[in-house]
Amino acid sequence: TTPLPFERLSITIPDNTQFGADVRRAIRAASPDTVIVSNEPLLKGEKPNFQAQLQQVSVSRNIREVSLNPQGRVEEYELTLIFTFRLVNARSEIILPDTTLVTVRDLPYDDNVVQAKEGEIATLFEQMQRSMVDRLMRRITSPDVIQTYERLERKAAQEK
Amino acid sequence: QPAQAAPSAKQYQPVEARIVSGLRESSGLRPVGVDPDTLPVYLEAMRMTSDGQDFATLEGAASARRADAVIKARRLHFDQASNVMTGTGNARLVQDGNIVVGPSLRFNMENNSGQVEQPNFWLQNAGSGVGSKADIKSKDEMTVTDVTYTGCPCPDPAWRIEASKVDLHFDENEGIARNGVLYFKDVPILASPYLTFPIRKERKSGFLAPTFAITSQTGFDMALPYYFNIAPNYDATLTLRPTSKRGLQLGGEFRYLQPDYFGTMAGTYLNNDYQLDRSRWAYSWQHNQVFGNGFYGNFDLNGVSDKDYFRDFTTLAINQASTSYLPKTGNLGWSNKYWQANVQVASYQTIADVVPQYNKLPEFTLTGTRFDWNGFDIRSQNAATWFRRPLSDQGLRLGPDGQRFTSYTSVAYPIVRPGWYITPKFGMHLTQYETDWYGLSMGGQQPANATRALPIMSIDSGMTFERQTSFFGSAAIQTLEPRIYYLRVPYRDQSNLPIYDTSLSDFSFSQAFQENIYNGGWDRIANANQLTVALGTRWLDEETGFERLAISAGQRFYFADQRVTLPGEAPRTDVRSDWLFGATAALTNTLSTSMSLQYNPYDNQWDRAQVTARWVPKRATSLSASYRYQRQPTGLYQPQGQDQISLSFQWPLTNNLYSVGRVDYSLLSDPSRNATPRVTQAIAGLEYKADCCWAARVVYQRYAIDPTSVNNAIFFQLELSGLGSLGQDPMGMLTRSIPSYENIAPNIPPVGKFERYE
Repeated sequence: TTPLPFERLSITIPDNTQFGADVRRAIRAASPDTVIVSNEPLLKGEKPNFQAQLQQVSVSRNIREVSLNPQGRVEEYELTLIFTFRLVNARSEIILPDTTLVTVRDLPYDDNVVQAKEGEIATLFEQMQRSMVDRLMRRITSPDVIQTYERLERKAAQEK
Repeated sequence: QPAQAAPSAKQYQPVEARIVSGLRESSGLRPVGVDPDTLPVYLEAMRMTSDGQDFATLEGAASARRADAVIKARRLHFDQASNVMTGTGNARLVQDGNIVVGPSLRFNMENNSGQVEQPNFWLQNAGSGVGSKADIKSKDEMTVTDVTYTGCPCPDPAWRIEASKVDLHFDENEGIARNGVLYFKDVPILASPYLTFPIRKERKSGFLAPTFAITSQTGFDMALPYYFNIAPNYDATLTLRPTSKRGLQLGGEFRYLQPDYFGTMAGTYLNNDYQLDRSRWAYSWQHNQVFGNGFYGNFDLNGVSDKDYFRDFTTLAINQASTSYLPKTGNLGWSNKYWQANVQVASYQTIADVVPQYNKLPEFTLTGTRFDWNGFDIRSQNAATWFRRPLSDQGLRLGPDGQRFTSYTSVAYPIVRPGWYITPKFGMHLTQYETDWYGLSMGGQQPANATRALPIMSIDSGMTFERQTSFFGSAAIQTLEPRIYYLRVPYRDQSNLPIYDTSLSDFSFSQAFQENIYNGGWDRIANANQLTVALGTRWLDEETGFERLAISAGQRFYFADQRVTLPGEAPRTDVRSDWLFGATAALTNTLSTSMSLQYNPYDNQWDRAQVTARWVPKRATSLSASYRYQRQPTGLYQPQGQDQISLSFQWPLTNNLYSVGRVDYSLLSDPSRNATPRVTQAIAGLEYKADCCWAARVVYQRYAIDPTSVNNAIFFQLELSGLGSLGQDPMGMLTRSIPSYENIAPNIPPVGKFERYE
């Protein structure tokens, strides 16, 4: 894996969640020299304390019925988790534009055990989110992201 | 009812500047805070006469130009005392992207009012018209009499409104036609003494596109929605739905959004069903509230008059026709970053031939989490629930009632390093039951009080190896990812515990790495001494990290027989589980496929198979196919057998004509469940998108509503661009049922403010 080129990274994914903790651990493992700074909102005029910020743009969960059984009742649902994120630098220039990761799972359904299925749906969504950590890491450590960051830094240095 | 976009927080923010298709007026182009009186007026003509003080007369290509308006005519007369400009001969007024042209005009430069005789006008929204007289009252308001108006910018507009008078309120985005008749292709289709239409494409009160249908349950069925744009954060839709077989149904929906609460109320009422001779109704109300200091509350109330309501009245949807339960739930809670306390009351109205669920009256939960605390992930979930089960329709008791107290606290210590991770986890699950069995027996004497304490231990670990390779000619990284999961749960005799909300999970890749084979409230926790082993490999684009192909396989190995079971469940004695296979591939940017298979090594046959392919070569064009197979269950609690093919598509036939369709065919034959091979769902439709301002759809839908009967429905819809609806997909069903469906209706781009500048 490629170490990230920034020393100070801010992450807006809430830290006291399984997903937020998993992402932070993965970044620390992949790039030990990168310090994850807290993401307190900036006061007006305050300079950001980070060189790059990983921003969670949106997370949405959809449940769609995909098939009916011969009795006309739902026999299968499709669960979709859509996570959109982007990476910006301290000047709010975009290093990685909005990128969407989608995970889909099918869930055989039985409407005689609705409450049990509700629990299963919640567990599945949690696992789907965990499975996104690796794909998120792949994306933000990919060569084109690192090159874009370095190009923006060179440009800023020249303009100075 | 047509779905409305939820009033989002974005819309709630006041927007000062007008937004035109993503462009906003530059503030530098707007005379900010300038009094029109002090703006200089520039005059230009072939010949100009003036007494130097009171008036000026301009002749020959005369124009008067001010920063915010331009007047042109063959002859212009300017009276300085009254500030009135009079133009004759091909006079035109250009203001804010709106143009009014007529043989003569009068315009007061001071208050921006005026009159134009026999006007032709073109508005900023691409609407245009002719009238006998235009009365400009201010910069924001104009009234035209004896008018023909169209919002369609084509040379030969598809629709027009003829009215004795039209008031155009530019700032309120509203046009009001009095005694108006709406013509479509020269055919009058709607007449009304009062007809409103939007000037810009924004939320606006008015009629939404009506839907016409013929269905087996309701006969001729028409839905006429009227949308009330009450305020930026409130709106409502009222729907009149006359049906030939059932009578007139009234429907309403009200949505609200405030900084600390939001919600939706909806309901329908039909006073006297012609066929059943009684009233039919449905309601739902979702409400969310934040009280501050971490306190919150919400409720979700739903109800219908009878079990057949959705079968009889649902159109354009399978999701409601197949509804089995309607929940009534309420929550009150408090949370901060680490703790969440909640009390919930939940009950269910049963509207299908299924056993009633347990109601929770009430349930208290307290959840504490602390992630990444010195490397530890700590989680504690505690609940106290009072379960009550409604009696069956025959008044029979279906199960015990009682209280359950559970507490599950776990600590994990994930060690993550480049290329590998290992996560040991330990948890303690404590449960206490106080049960009123009502003499019901599961075999043996059931105790009123029972407790269970179980430690749950697991170790999850994985590695990632990678190498550079190529994939279909482009540079790629291939990974190899083994994963091992060990789970240990001691045995406790649980046969005397009641079952409230627990069932067997379906075996899958997700389930293979979970702590319990049961889900829901864990009334059973299976003993376990088992290892799950999986191997995955992926090909990723070297430049972007995009996943092109992923393949995985896995299996679970048991070192102990299953001893904990649900009532009637046959315990597992095998030492190996099914083989799991999964693959997803995005071979090109337009074609994606996925597959998941489950192979039973003991019976040498497939237990489950799912194959899906989706091809989206361009906008509004897609093709999907899927096959789902689930072997018939051999015991209780296993998923129902399934053997279904599904095909769906949206495909252009010509530049204007699109087809949509879906067929689900169940091959399953199972006399015990009354299942024979049949089409469970079919949709066929044609959509026509005219070159100019209108689109029409005909959609046929057929779906199973019980083992023997189906509902058939045909829908027809005409969508006139620039009038009424906000350009949303009026047939939400197509979006839900056809994967990758995109609306074909054309959008009319508005004219920029400076596009018509002269």
